[in-house]
Amino acid sequence: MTPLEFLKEEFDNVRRALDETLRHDYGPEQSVDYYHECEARLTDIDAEISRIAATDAAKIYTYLSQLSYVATFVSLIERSRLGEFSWPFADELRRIAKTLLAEKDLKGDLLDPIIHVVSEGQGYRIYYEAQVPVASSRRRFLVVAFPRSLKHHVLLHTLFGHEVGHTALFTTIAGGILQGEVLAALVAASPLKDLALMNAWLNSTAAHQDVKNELAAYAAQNGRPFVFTKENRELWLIELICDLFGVLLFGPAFFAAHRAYLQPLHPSPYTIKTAQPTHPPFAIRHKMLVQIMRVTGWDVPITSAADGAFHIAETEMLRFLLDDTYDQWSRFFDDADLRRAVAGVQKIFAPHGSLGYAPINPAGLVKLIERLTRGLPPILADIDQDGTPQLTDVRISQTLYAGWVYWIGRQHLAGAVTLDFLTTNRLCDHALLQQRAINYTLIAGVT
Amino acid sequence: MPIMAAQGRNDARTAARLLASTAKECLDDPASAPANAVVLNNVYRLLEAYRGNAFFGLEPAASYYPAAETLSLVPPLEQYVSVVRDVLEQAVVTTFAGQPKDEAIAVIENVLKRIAYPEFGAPSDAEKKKVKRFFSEVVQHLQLA
Repeated sequence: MTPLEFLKEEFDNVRRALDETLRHDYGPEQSVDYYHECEARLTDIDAEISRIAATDAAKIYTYLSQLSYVATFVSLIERSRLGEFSWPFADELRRIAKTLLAEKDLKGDLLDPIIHVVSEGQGYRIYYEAQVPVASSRRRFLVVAFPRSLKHHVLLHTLFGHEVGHTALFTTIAGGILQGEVLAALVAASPLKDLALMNAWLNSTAAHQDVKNELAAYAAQNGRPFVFTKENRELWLIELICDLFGVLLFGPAFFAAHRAYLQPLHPSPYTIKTAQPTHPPFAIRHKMLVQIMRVTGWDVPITSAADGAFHIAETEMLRFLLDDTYDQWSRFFDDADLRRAVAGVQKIFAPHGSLGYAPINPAGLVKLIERLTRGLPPILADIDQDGTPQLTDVRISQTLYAGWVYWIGRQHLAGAVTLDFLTTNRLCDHALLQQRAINYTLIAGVT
Repeated sequence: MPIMAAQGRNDARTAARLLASTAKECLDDPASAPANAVVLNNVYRLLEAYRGNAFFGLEPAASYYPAAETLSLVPPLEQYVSVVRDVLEQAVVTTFAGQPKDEAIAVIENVLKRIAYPEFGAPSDAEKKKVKRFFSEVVQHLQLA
């Protein structure tokens, strides 16, 4: 078999794989665009293969790579099963991603990404296409991977806010702002201003003892001191920008998930993990989020003392978030710089109306929590005396805020039922589903 | 251990070379450009990423992803993006000496737009020549060792 024959055989195999797909339950309006994009890419590759000379080894190699790339996306078609993830949440992510991640083409037309949702063994991830695009790509694929074991845990799914940030960084419109004013604000006066400052910060006498021990162990093992590289600095900046993005997208519900999910994974909140220092220590990330809560004013309860137990529960939840006993060494940013960074991200959300987090009104929050105490999904859909439903558009970040208030403050809330974490999540998941129906009704003006 | 290195299947240099060589061919024969609008649009995406993305070329180490994730059916980690970035950088300097990067990229993108979509009007010969030289530089420096 010659290399060109092998390439042609590979093409037929991928084509057959595509033909054999679409046997599963992918959800409405989700797989057609994806399928057509794969088909179009294969058609282009087919046309090019027919022109390749049998002796052109470089081109054969190039098209094997391009084909292999499409093959992975073809394989992913059948990895999307509605029964394995929260599809109301996935639907919301799809809406956010389409709005935020559209890009302009050469003509200036807007192209939406094609969003594909799967469940995976690993944690929350969004896979966006390569930085150097393949030649046949029309619209870009964006694959959202939910952790399979956390199928119903919508309170944790807000962590996707961070992952959306990663993708937004690599788009032309949102990425331009994140890499412009947001990045400038975060490097203005922080240890991330340049590599020398970052290394000085790491080696300062104020560093936590865990870090000093970590650095000593590295030096003993490698015979030289640890130093950050340019790449480490850039990765840390990216992670912090994405945390900022996540909290401004989903609000305190993101922060609650961030703390609940990440804190247990960091027995020491200070260590930098010298083997792979890809992420800032947990303490730095937590401290930044606490500061953001304060500069946005989200550290103040929505409810008031007059709301009794609901207020106490909310205060308890905020205490959980704002609890910050970490060393000052892990404070990277001035409030003023963070305010500028926040304004930058909010500029991305502004043209799209209800995209970023905005607090719900006090009465609405009380009603949402009260429904949870009765074992009901947190929605606002009272029936009035005439039997007419009074429907309200509650944003996903507001529903999940109520969910976290219930969960953290539940010991203060009297109710018919006491929910465990899974049931709290499932009720919130149902609420997102019902909210979608409510929003359709509101848009159609049926009431 | 897999039978070959993962990066063998996702080498940014080959993808970039294919884009640049197609752009060059379209400049040689502008009549072929409208039929290659999809490829030229991907050249545009690459140039925009290079122009506007401060993190373009940043490649997390392969060890960033735990071994189990290699079972995931997503394309292998993209390699050599930083090489592509450096080649683009050098080609801008060589072809558009003294001109700011943003301006140079705008000229290239404008020429690509005009050949892909003739309704926007033909680019000048001087601009076409310059842009062709740019892509020749890119192709030449992305030849695989």
